[in-house]
Amino acid sequence: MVKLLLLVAVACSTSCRPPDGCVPRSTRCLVNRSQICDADRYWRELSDCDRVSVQSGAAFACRYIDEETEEGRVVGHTCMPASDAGSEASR
Amino acid sequence: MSAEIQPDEVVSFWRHMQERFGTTTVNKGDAVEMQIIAGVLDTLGILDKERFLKSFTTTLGRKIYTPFDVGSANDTWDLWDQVVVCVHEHQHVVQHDREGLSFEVSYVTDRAARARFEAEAYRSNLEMHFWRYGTPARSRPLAELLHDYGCRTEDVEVAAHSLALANVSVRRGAVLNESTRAALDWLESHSPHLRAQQPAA
Repeated sequence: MVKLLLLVAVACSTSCRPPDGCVPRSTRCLVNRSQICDADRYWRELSDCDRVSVQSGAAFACRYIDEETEEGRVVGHTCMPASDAGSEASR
Repeated sequence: MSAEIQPDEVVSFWRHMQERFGTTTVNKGDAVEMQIIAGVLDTLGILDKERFLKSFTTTLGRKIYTPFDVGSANDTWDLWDQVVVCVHEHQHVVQHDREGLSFEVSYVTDRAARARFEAEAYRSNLEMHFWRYGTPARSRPLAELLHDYGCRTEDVEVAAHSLALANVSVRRGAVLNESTRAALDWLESHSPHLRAQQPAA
């Protein structure tokens, strides 16, 4: 019974709060972390760019990008090299 | 042309990852619990039993169930696939350590969370591909695999977008996942010949 209550508490802690009301697939930077809005309209962390910096051996910062890639146009926020100071960094 | 990976390299690599993350590996076909899960998934119409047992590697806590013997290629899993799935599954162990019990609960009960956890682990697939071949992997097919996990189309679309963004970061040198960092540390010191040729400066 205690285990069941614990499971319910854990499940509620992750899904019982009201949605953030964001638009699914939209992204943003929050401090130096990139976030994406999931299908249930909650903001979820994509990457902690400070951690990425440590793991990559170079400074990364959360930035807005708009790039043409092999798979098409990619628009949103992600960790990019901090040396790429661009005009769109603050969007 | 990429150098071939050897069976003993795959075995040593898995051993490194297991020691680094404190995991054990079990052949899926030998595990009673996997037979039971396969039967339940089949009965519920979620996933064919044979497909679950032969095509999916599964991690529960710190135990990784593989549909292959590590270091022995089969029709479904070549040696490089075995390296990549090792990194992918160890990112689930990172999630288990980071999120605690809510990881397992959310994974089972929440489709959006399941998509999010899998998309994060698929970033390791992107990172390993870029290290090995020097070109970005296609991210959309990885996201589409989430249909097999009972995720909704809208979950798949969010995952596809997150993986496309991750691919841009990876191409610029980012190592997003902790398991990938651990993998690259070993590969760069023990099997650097497997890495894509770097363009001359």
